[in-house]
Order: sequence, then C-alpha cells, then structure tokens
Amino acid sequence: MEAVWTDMALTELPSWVTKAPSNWGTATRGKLSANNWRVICAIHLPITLIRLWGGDDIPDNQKAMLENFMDLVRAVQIANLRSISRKEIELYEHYISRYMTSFKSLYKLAKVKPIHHAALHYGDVLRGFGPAHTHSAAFYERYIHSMQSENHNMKLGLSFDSRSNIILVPIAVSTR
Amino acid sequence: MRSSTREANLQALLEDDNEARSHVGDLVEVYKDILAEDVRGTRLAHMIDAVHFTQQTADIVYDGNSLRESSLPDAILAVFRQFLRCKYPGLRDTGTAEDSSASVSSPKTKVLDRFSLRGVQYTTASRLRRDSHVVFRSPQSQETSTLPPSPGPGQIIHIFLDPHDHAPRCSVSPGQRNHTSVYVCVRPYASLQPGQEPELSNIDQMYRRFGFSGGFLYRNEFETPIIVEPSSIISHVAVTPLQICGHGVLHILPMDRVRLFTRFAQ
Repeated sequence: MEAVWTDMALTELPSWVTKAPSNWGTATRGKLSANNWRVICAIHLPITLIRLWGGDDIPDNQKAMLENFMDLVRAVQIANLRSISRKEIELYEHYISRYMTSFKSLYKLAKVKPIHHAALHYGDVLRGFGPAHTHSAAFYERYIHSMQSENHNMKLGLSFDSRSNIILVPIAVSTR
Repeated sequence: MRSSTREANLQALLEDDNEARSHVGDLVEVYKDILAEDVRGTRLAHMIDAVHFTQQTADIVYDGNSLRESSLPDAILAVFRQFLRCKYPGLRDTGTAEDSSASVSSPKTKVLDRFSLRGVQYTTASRLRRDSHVVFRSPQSQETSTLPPSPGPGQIIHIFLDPHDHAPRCSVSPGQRNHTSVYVCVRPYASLQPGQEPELSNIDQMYRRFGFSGGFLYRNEFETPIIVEPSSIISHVAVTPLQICGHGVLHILPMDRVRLFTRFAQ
C-alpha cells in the first residue's frame, strides 16, 4: 500500500478525472465511492502493481493475481468507453470471462456474487443499448445526491420548498 | 409520450415547410443539437450526423475573447515555418515579394491558453499543467515512414492561430467554421533507448504487455518542440514520474475514452 500511495502522490491526472483520496484503504478514510474505486483500479493500481509484480522473478501466484486483476481493469475500461463497437464488446466478454475463470481458481474462499453474474451478461446490454453512459444510472445518482442535500421533514408530499424546483421533476418524468 | 409526439410533429413541420423553417432558421441548429444529445458518443450519433461525413475539421471550440496578442519564441517560429512548408508545399520562404502573406515573417500572433476538442479541454503547461499532457499523432513520423503514424506523448506549451491564416487557401464550404488555423506546439517526451537501458526496456515491456490498460515508459526529458494540428491530439494522459534502477522515467497512461489511441497504435 505504501508503494501505491507514493506513486499516487506523484501522478498528474487531467482535471476531469476526480482524484481518489490519498489515504484510501485505511480505517480513517472508510468507504470509497464507485468512482474512487474506478480511478484507483484503472489508473493507480496498474502503475504500481505491474512494476512490482510484473517481473520474471516474481512468484507465479502473484503473477497470476496481476493477470487476473488486469483482466478486470481491461473489462471495466472497455465497458466504460464512450463509443463502442461489436469487436470491443467481444473483447469485453473475453476479458470478463477470463477474469471470472481465474478468480474462481485463485480465490477459492471468495464467493461469486450477483454482481459477478451480472457482469458476465453486460456484453448483451452493451450490444442492445450502446455505451454505458447512455443507460447508466450516473445521472440519477447525481440527482438523488442533489435531492438528499435538500432540507426535508421526512413526510413525503406534505411540504414543498418554493425555492427548489425538485417538485417539477417527477411531473416532467411522468409525462414523458 | 406527449413530449415525444410534439417533437415528432415539429420535426416533420420543419422538414416539410420551407417557410416555417426560414422563420426559425437560427433556432433549428440549436434544436438539432438538443435532439442529438441522447445519442452523444454512440455509433448512432455518427450515423445520423451528416456533418460527420462532410466535415474533416476536428470538433474544436475556443473562446475568441480570450485570444491575446503575443510573440512566439524564435525556435518555435522556425518549427512553425517548417511545418507550414510541409503542409502547404507551395508556400515561399520569408521575404519573397511575390507572396509575402504566405510566409511567417512576424513572431506576433494570437495565442490561446486553452481549447476544447471533442468536448475535452486542453491547456498549455503554463496555464494548467495537468491538462497539458497529451498523446498525439506526430506528423513527422507520417512523413518519414510509410507506416501509419504511431502516437507518442508530449506536453502542450503553446496554442496559437496562424498569424497569416493560410487555411482559407483550402476549400471550405460556405457557412462552415474553419478551425484549421489553430495550431498546437507540443514538446514530445523522449523515448527510451533500448540498447542503453535494458532494465528500463524490460519494465517498459511489462507495462506494454497489458496494452491500453498498462501504459508505457518514456524518459523524463523533452525532445525538440513540434507543431501539430489539434485533430492530431488523441487524448489526455496520466503522467507519473518514477525512479527505476536509478533512472528518472515517466509512466504514461492514456486517458482515452473512445480508444482512439489503440486504433492508431495498431
């Protein structure tokens, strides 16, 4: 972790990439957001892990763990592309399937969760609906966040703050 | 449902009724943009966007109010002259009386700190360093090799307009905004020397084995600045200075959200 934190501190990211907390992985920091995990896994961990675990003198088990992790990174990166083709969807399916296969053999005590199962079907979703940003929940998550920051009295429908326009949104959504 | 029906009716009205269209000409462009918002970044967007097939210029936006008069350093000016001679072979050298506007004799030009390309903002190193690291296709490699230009990383140091605006000599459709006169001066990072630094090359290969997810290593030094057009810029990169085997190197990871980098690297 020390090596990852050191490299993280040196990495210059474009301004549109949200920085992950410098003390991630500690009890003090606590939980991370999904976006934080994505930045850590897709940017910071490959920079450090490939350097530390990618050499010829590294035990096979560690090498296999790196391969397994990088399969996941590649799958996530393809799944998050802004523009996607059928060939790239096939590539996604190749990496996520290989990740799950080696995951079962490397981490025998780990449980396969519903999210793993869903990830194996995500190629069909991409094929049917296009790139993730066109159907992802990020917009709604942001909206929920803005609504959570509003003062409320925990009594749904009994109060309306005239300065806010949040009441207009359910109406607009229901008419579409 | 009601909203969708109205949109469909309005589209049909604008399509069929020339008179109605002439009254709301200014609004139609904005309306089309709003309609296309739902398919941004998709293959469908490219298919239905007719501009995609006819417009060869990159999607560049910059704030005209932020343009300011400045002088380019002599070294950059010389590189720019060389670039123009390659781009427009008909141009004459500085001082030729026949066609003085075709040369770049004055270092004075209009400079920018930032511009937006395909919706992503790029800046000069002096303005915001983290947005100045890019991976780009070098025009030099295209000239000297029959292979497609391989992308390389660099840092944007100047963004400027062509002082004599040579671009109008190219055919430009009426009404089409021509941005080819925007140029970017990039300092490319120096690549590793495999013969001199075998340990570094091995670690570089470890990164490259993972393709677009692993990144690659470059020396923490710059080569001679070059001029590129904005359309040659592929994406931002994440840059990490590392000390490996006593050598100062940079790890470069392309932050490409449309895999342009991979397509050009193949």
